[in-house]
Amino acid sequence: MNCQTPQRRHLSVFILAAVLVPILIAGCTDPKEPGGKYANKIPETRLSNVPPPGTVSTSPLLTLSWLGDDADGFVVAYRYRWSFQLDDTSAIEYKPYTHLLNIMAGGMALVMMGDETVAPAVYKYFSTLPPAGLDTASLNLLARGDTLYVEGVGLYASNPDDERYPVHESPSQGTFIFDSQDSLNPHVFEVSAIDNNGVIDTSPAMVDFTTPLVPPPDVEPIGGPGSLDRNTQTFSDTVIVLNEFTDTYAGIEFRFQGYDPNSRTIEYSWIVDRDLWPADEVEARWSPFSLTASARIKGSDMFKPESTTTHTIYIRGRNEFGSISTRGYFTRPINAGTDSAAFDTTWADAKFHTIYPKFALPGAEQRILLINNTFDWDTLAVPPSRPARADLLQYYTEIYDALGLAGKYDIYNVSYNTTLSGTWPGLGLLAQYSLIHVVGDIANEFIRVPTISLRSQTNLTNYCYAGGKTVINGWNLTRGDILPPSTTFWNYILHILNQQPVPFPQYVGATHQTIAGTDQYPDAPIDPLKLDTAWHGGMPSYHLYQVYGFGEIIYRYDALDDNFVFPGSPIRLEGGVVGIRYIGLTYDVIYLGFPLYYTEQTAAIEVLRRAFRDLKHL
Amino acid sequence: MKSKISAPGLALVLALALTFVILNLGCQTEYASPLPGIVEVRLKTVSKDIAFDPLNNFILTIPSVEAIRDDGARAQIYPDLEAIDREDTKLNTLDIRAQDSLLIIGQTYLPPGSYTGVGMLIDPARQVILDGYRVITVERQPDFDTRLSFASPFSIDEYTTTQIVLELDLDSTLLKRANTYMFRPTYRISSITQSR
Repeated sequence: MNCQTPQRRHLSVFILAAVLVPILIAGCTDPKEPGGKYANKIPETRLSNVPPPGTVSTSPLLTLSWLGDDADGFVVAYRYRWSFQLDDTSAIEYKPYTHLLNIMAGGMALVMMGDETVAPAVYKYFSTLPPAGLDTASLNLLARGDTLYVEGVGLYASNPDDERYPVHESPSQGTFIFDSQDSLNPHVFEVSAIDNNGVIDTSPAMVDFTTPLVPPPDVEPIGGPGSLDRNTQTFSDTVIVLNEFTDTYAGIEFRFQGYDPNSRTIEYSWIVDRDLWPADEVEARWSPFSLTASARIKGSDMFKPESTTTHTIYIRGRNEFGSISTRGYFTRPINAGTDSAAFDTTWADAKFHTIYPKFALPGAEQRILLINNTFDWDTLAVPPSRPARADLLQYYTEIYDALGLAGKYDIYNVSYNTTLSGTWPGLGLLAQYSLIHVVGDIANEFIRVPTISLRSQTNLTNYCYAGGKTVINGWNLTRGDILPPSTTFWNYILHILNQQPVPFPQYVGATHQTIAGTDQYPDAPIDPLKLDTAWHGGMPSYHLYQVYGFGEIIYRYDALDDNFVFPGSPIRLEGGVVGIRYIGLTYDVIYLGFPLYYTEQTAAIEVLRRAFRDLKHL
Repeated sequence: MKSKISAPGLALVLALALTFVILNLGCQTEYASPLPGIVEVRLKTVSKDIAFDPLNNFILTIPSVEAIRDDGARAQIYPDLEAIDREDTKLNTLDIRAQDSLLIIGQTYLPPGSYTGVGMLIDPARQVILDGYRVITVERQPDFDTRLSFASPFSIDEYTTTQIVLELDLDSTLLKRANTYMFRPTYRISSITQSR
């Protein structure tokens, strides 16, 4: 029989609990003698491509590789530095430590601007990124070479996108250029691993070696205006110079070349007229060093370009070790291995010739050059249809006198040989004038005037590009053998895209095209008294043009028969384009595809009056 | 005769009536969907150097026009109110209508709200034609960006047409060089007006 009352049963449970709970709690207390912790082990570092001690390298450029281990953790970063000596008598100095994170982001090695105390936290940030890795904005920032801040520490990529020769492309290797200003330069390189507790290897891996002094690169000019005469070290062509670049004047281009077997890069710097500038200005006038092996030079780079016509350009080079060439010349072997083997001296300077256009000088007087590019009937002249040059010049003298330009122009008679190869004025002469008027009105029995060669076209183009003004008028002037095709001259000077020859004797004048404004060009009818009877009332051998670019139609073909069409074609002669003007930002050209000599003189005077007004010469 | 309704029946009827009333009350949410407003984008060209003449043209192709709401949402603006899609719109910036802001770039219905501006893509023609025969090449800057962003806040209201005029300064946009034009877009929102 159970004689326990419920009160008694509760009491026994309470007592049991009161005994067991303290026992259990006592069992949870720390042991009296805990086992203790292992001390952090210091990481170890070793260089993996150690040259023998005392090695003299062939170059100050060395690639070193290293590796770190940590027995009880992992390596989060490396720290390295090296020693150098300015000269034999100077104390040994050390470069500041560089800290390199032992993890990469987006293929970039990360240099840390903090020390071992922050390295574990920064490492942890990169090692715990989501699978997608670093966000795009941060990657772009690093790729640009900018600084990324992580855990309050700045980081930058050693191999950003625009770094051609990065020091680090991985955390365990570096390609260094060691200071080598003396003939032999001893260095000690040391590198230590940093573990995940921020502890540094106290016994860094070390290597000592010696680097040599590297000679500077040799440089020489290889391109400029015209060809370079190696005997006189002078460029052949004379070129126009302006003080500043314009939309059409791009300066004078020079190209250089450097030699340096030790350096991966050569930077160039140049100066013009080094010996003419005051001594205290010379250093500032050297251009900044640039990897670009060319330069565009303008008048303001030269000493007194308005009055000095011969200049000298000097070039110097700098290699990646900082050595700058100063000798100004070097020798190199030629014809090696042959009987005529020798050494050639190459200079790092060259002379060139320039002209400063007179019209670009402040307050310069306007003056016109009339280039008489006509055929001379000479003793066979049958004026007025086949005039001698003297007749033509008399005609134009009367026109210029009527325009009030007497004494304000000069005449250049183009000489030519039996094949009608003309000798045109050079650029030096063209640049003396503010306006060039080319006349090609009188042709031989084959409707042919002296050739305007490609070189002459180039000179006229360069004259225009420098800011010159030009009027060209003539008969059959754009025939291929008279004006050899040059896209630049046709498109940008004459402003002609295409042409259609008109052999038929239909030309009786040019009618003006209405242009914007009230000042219109006058009509230009031919003078019937000057026509050859063989032409039957109309002149043959014309061209109709298609205008290029900003060219503007000013004259149209007036045909003897208004309804005359090209055989087999519906295209009418009447109204075809024969006159174009180009009023540009830097130069102006008026092209009249008809001869003013065969035009009624009163009309010719008004045509030129209007043209010269367009060109600001009346 | 007196009809008899039992108490449980009465309770059931009352319970059903009460449930019906409660359910009906629950359906009476005070909600009114707003009707859309209309946005209309027009082009105005400012040009002193090149005349507004039928013989002159400079074509701007516009593949996309968007209104940008203040929460960043973007709404495509179609060519007209009937359109359901947008194809490239070609506009002659030297059209006489562009001189007086009459050239419509796009129209569409938009939800009422605050908007921060208009964004568009442009593709300028490679040439300008002057006087019907002068063909001038148009160059683009190396950093040319097809996106134009017109930042100017405006609101769209119910039953209201918001008219936005985009102004293109052609004198600055087409920078004249010796033989070409350089395209360098200069633009702004010149006016925002509302009408019912």
